[in-house]
Amino acid sequence: MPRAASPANALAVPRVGGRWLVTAIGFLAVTAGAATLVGADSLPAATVVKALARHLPLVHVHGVVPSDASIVWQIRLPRVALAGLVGAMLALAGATYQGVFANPLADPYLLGAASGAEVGATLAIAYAPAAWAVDTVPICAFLGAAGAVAAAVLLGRSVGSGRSTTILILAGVAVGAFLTAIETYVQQQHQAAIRLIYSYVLGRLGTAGWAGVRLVLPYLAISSAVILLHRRHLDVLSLGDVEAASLGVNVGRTRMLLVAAATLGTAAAVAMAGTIAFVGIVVPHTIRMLTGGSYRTILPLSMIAGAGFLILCDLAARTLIAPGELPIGVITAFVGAPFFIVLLRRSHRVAT
Amino acid sequence: MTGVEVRDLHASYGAVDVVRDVSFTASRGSWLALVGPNGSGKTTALRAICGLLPYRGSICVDGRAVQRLGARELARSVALVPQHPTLPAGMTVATYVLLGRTPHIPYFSHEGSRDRAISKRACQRLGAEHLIDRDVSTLSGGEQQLVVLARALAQQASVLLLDEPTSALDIGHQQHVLGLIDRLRRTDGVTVIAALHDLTHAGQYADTVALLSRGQLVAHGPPATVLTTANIAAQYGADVTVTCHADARVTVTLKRLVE
Repeated sequence: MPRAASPANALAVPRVGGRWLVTAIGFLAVTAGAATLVGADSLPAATVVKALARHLPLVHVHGVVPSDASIVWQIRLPRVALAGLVGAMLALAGATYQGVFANPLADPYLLGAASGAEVGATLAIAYAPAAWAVDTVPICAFLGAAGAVAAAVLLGRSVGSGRSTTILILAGVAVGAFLTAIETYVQQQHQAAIRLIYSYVLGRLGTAGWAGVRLVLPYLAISSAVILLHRRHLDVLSLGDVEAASLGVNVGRTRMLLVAAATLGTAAAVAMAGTIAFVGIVVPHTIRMLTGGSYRTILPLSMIAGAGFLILCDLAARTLIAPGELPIGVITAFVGAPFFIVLLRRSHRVAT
Repeated sequence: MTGVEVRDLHASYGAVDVVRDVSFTASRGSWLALVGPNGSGKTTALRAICGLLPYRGSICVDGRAVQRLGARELARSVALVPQHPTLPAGMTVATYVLLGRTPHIPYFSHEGSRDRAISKRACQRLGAEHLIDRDVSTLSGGEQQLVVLARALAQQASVLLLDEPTSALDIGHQQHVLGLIDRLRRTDGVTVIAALHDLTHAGQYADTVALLSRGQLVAHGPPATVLTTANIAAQYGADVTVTCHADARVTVTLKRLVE
């Protein structure tokens, strides 16, 4: 027996590397660069670069107007960072839901998680005393999202024939519609808080600044760490419950943990950026088509590409009708809805 | 004893027992065929043995009670090849076979060089080495079965449970796959318990045949004593010709019934 296996007599473990990693990072770098250079105030590229360079250690840059510098550093850059974080999280959560439910159509928005998070945030703004020391909004958003996903799963199961991919999605959409109705009712009852609520629902990518980055980062870090540590388990779960259990995996516990992590990340993303649909579907499926079916490559690449994708969508949202701004969800839906229909047709053809 | 010992087994999915009071043993390296009409409890019995269903009675694998073993520990001893394995679209054969190492890999860890070498060897032994870069969902029926067996082999379990391993294969692939399983148990001492529809397969390959009907064991023993025209007529309602060969192997042939 040879002491250590050479690659010739061992199978290769799927891992992220080579050209797809370079491509994904390149895509993120280009979109982040473009989104930093372009904005409502047309600053020359040189000014932007100088404003950024000012923050490098040991670099002294002269000749930047303070107002230009703060546009770049206090407005554009945190917005790019936030869009990137939210996009990475939504794509990761989408890929996770797809793996856990063995359902190619699963998405944080279609499962009702996003609506649940919105209702939770709305209720917290409307009813929680402002004097409380803890910011209740992210916590309530998480509780709302978790409740919505649980309701969608239970509703889908009660309809029976749990094998069908569309039943879970229909249940999620129904739960989402119901929660949106509650949300609208609460908003009408609390006219005084409506401005604040709207700022949550429509998203605060453009206004939250570095404080927003600091607010969501811990949630996203925990969520993505849990999910990435389980990337091999997601491959095992894709064999279905019986086979995964026969390989010694505690299917129920693993699934619960992964759903909780994906939902926590979704809630944080929604509390920051409002409801943004289809990112969780478009990005992981594109990665899957390009690189194959192992979650060990799909999850990390989805995060990188998801960040780039949402930065690009945000750039489109604030430049297409400049100086006006479109809600970013409009852009993602414009791209994502047709993509979803193609996917629905394909998954239906496989199922029948 | 080594092998599998099932005593007074009652197993169920819900309130009603699908398997009632079943006992049989399969010694190490032997081949036990579970036969019986549709719905007689073959799959249920297999799932109970690999710890996927609650049961009453006792199941011992290599002398250890299944209920006392943790899921990972049990999976290192018992491998299951279901009747309709899930082959995830886009996953390569290499990734798929490596998943067989799951019960041997620590929770947050990944396949090490030893796991990768064992998995490669499993592919080589089943003649599936040329498939390792293929997408599992695009394989032919025969290729799929080889790959699923390779995953079970990579699991390095001492007991192999097979649920209708040849149901999707033509006769040439049936013989090939059954021959591979036969060789594994002879060379590695793997205990094989296979639910089989084709009684000739049971009569040719099994050392022991357990005939189930409506969840109960109605006959148990060497093929020639269990696969009789009387037993088959009584349990399947089929009129067949049974031929006993010199090597004590049996073939069961369907007869045309003329009204």
